[in-house]
Amino acid sequence: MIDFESLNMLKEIMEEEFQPLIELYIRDSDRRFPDMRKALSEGDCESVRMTVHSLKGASSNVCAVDLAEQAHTVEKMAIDGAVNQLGGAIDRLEQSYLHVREQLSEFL
Amino acid sequence: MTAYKVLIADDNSVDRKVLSRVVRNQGNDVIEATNGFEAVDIFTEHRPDIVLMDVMMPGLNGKEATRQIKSIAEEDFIPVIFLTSLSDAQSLADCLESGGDDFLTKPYNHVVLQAKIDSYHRMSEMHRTLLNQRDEIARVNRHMLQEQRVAKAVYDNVAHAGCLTSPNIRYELSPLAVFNGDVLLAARKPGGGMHVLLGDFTGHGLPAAIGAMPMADIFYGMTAKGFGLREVLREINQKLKSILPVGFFCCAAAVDLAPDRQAASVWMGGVPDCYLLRNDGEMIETLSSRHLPLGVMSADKFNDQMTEFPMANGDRLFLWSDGIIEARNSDGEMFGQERLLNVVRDSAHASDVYDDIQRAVDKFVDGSEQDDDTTLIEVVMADALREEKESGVTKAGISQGPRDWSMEYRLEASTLKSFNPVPLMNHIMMEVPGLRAIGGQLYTVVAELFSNAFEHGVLGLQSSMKQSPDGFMEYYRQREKRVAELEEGFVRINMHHTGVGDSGTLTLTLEDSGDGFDYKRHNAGEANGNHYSGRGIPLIESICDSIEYRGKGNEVSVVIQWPLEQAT
Repeated sequence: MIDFESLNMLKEIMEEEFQPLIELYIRDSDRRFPDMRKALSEGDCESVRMTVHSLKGASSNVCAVDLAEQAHTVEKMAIDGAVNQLGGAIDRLEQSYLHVREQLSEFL
Repeated sequence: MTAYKVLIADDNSVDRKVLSRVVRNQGNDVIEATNGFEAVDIFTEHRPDIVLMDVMMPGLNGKEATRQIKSIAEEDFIPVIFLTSLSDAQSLADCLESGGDDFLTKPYNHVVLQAKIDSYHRMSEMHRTLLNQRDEIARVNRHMLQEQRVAKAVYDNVAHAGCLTSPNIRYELSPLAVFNGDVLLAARKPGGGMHVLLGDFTGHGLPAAIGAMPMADIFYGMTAKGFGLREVLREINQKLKSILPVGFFCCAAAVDLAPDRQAASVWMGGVPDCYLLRNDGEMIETLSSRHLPLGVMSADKFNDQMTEFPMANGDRLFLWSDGIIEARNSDGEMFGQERLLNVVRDSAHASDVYDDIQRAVDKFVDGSEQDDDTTLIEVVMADALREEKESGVTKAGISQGPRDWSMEYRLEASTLKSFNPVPLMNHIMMEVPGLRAIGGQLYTVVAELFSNAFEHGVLGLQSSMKQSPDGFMEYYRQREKRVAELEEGFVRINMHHTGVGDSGTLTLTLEDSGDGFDYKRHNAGEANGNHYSGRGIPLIESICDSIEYRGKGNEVSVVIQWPLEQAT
């Protein structure tokens, strides 16, 4: 789920900023799921797309490659306006995220 | 390594933090902006060297923020590199089209990132250098123009327009022509008539202007003192030869306009063919350069031979530098001598030629940048020139200058062979302000008296010979022969002046080594065909209070009282 080799490199690069970065990632990402669901309930696919796009970028930065890939799939759904599929996709994405969050917390 | 100031604009805080850290680790200073508006504000305040800009941001997106930043930066080059996870060609091309300079695709390759930052920094430096140099050039150019204006003012004082404003002259000369190497000078001769000189210096700018200064100085100075154009040219040639660097010289056309002889003597060196147009006829006479330009030959090799052309009133002489012939149209084609000749030929009347040439050249060039200056002058022979003489005595000046003085100048045969003392004599007389007003007449008097003493006295030539055209030629043939053979003889000139401030008396006495003549017969009014057939005698009689011949007729003394009773 997480490319730990790259994560270690990131840790080296960020040094003392590594822990705040991970904490920032978790804080940001936690917020994104309620945001996405709210936007979806309002039928605002563009907003969903922006949020999941950010999640994709951030996840990729913390080396959560699979999560980033999954976010990318959801982003494409949002672009296509697949409202019916998006609810389930967001749920599955959150499951994956929670798993990543656990792993990152352990890593810290 | 100098720290670059890098602005990172990205709404995704994790992305921004990571990129920021990487860029800082590479030794740069980073300022972060979390959206497009903030990016523009921070840019205005901090003026970063380079901007890394996320494309997709809420509010003001990356492309619009970039447009604003580029507009604020004005002529400064601020590279903007777009950050994007998009990788299709069109999206990347869009980034550049919206004003970005480059893009970086996520995830970033750290090596490429640093290389790009470095590369754009070099470009910015280069751009700054370019702007600085441009400003420096503009500054230097302003400075140069300022200097040229000052130099032009100085030059104008030395090479004043002289008598270019005379009614018999029309001319065209660019106001800053001196820096293009073209010079136009005209001065009245003390004895009536005028000297005109058109010069075209090699090169442009300062070297040309520097050469023009002494040229004008000599031209006006010597002409005012009564020197002939040949002597003026000789002096200018020598001066230019000594001051101009090798390869620099002055192409010139010089005209001695003599209304009393109804003729023009022309000297041309290195200038294109010029034309002489008759007032009453169709005939176009072509005048060609026969000499090397001024400033090329050393004094002993300089050829001051002039070509004389009869010129009746209304006849016109057209002179120009190569500017007209080399004037180019927008296709780079030159106007050329043939076109010029056609314009002259096609003109309805000689008096239209000047305007026709200007019109034709203007039409031909039609707004394209001029390579050279189109200097053009038309000189018309006019009888009025005879009367208009240089004067310039002021009331205040009259009491100044030498008052009571005398001098004697004796010229021996070897000197007489090659030296004309008249300009020198005139120069000495001109030191007396009261005499300047009659400088022209005085010059004629001295010239005539000296010519009589030398030609009829020392050389023993009979003036009666000059009465027929054949005799005229013979006279000059003989003169040349006798000058060449001259071994003995002298002319003694005595000048004596007394004055009281606003009036004075000048006595000129000339004695020669010749046999004299029977002046008593002349005094009785019986003589004809002797000394007195010289043209100057009526004038001498008109301004001299007395003319007295002495001895065997080889000594003459004239008295001139100034101011003259009648204005001549």
